[in-house]
Amino acid sequence: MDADAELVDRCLRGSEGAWEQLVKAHSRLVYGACYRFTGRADQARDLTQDVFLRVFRSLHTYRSESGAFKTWLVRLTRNLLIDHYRKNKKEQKVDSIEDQAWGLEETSGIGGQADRTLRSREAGELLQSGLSQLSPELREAVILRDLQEMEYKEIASALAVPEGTVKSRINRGRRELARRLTALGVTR
Amino acid sequence: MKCRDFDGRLCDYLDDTLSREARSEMDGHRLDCSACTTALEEADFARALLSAQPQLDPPPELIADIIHDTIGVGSGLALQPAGGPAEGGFMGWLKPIFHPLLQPRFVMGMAMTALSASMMGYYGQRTVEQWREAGTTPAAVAASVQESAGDAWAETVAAYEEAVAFYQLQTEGMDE
Repeated sequence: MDADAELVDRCLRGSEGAWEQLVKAHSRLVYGACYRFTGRADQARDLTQDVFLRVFRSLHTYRSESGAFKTWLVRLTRNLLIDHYRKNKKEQKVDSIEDQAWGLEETSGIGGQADRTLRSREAGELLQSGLSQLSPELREAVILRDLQEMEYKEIASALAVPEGTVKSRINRGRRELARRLTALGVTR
Repeated sequence: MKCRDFDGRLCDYLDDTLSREARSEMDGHRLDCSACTTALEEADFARALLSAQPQLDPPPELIADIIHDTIGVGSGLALQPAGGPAEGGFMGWLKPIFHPLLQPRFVMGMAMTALSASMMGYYGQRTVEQWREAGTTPAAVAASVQESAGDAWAETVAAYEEAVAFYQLQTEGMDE
């Protein structure tokens, strides 16, 4: 039994300390995924709370023999993010356009500089803006691989698709993101 | 090699997990295919940018909020034991049983009941011994409460009448 499965087992036997440990061990993963997916700290915060509340209520349904806890958690997070995306689709479209406009304004201001490499904070914001414009399928695959550093097998299990599909989505997501960032003035 | 195969191996190429033969096969294809070269460059560019991003730490208060919302005081939620005693020995076993009764609303209810009883005793001007003498059956308690209420009412009426008499004396003095 791995460390997470052991913690889950202790949680189910009523240990509040084990639950606290489990939250601390995985809050970074969940918050990171939520922030990268939504691009907003307030939403990431609320979603992370929702994820753990859902985990807490459905912890008894987790079976360690069916896979790692991390995969189960990512699947649950992903489902919640997709629900959130569907609910806020219209709002997000407006945000994306605003983000893009903001990005163009920002980059045009420094466009004349010899070195077009953006400062790290600006690059991070533009990257986030570019990510927000990807379809949820491509976005989640890229986030889980390149930002959360998950294995292809884990991603495939969390998204319930074959490994080949995961790789194909990652390729498409990376290429689309690169094209969007280039259009916004980000270069190597 | 076909473009489709190139695309299928692109992730592994960038991860540098391909065999030497497979890698040189892809490099050979790149020389003849500009579309696949562009695909590789774009994917590599995005991957490098994403990998350079720092890991995001959740706000420190978020973990505390999650703990509070799930097992904290007043959350109304509790981790459900899945059979067998909880950890912490006998007390750990008792804790889940009494946990619902130790919720703030119940504790407050019990405190309010005790306060009401003591107020009744105080304002009815009866000591615990007097209550005990009067009897502890519901009928005896009801009769005793009624008697106390009657006494309190009589005292209130007397105080009111005194106040009226005082007011009348005051106003008569002012008229003169």
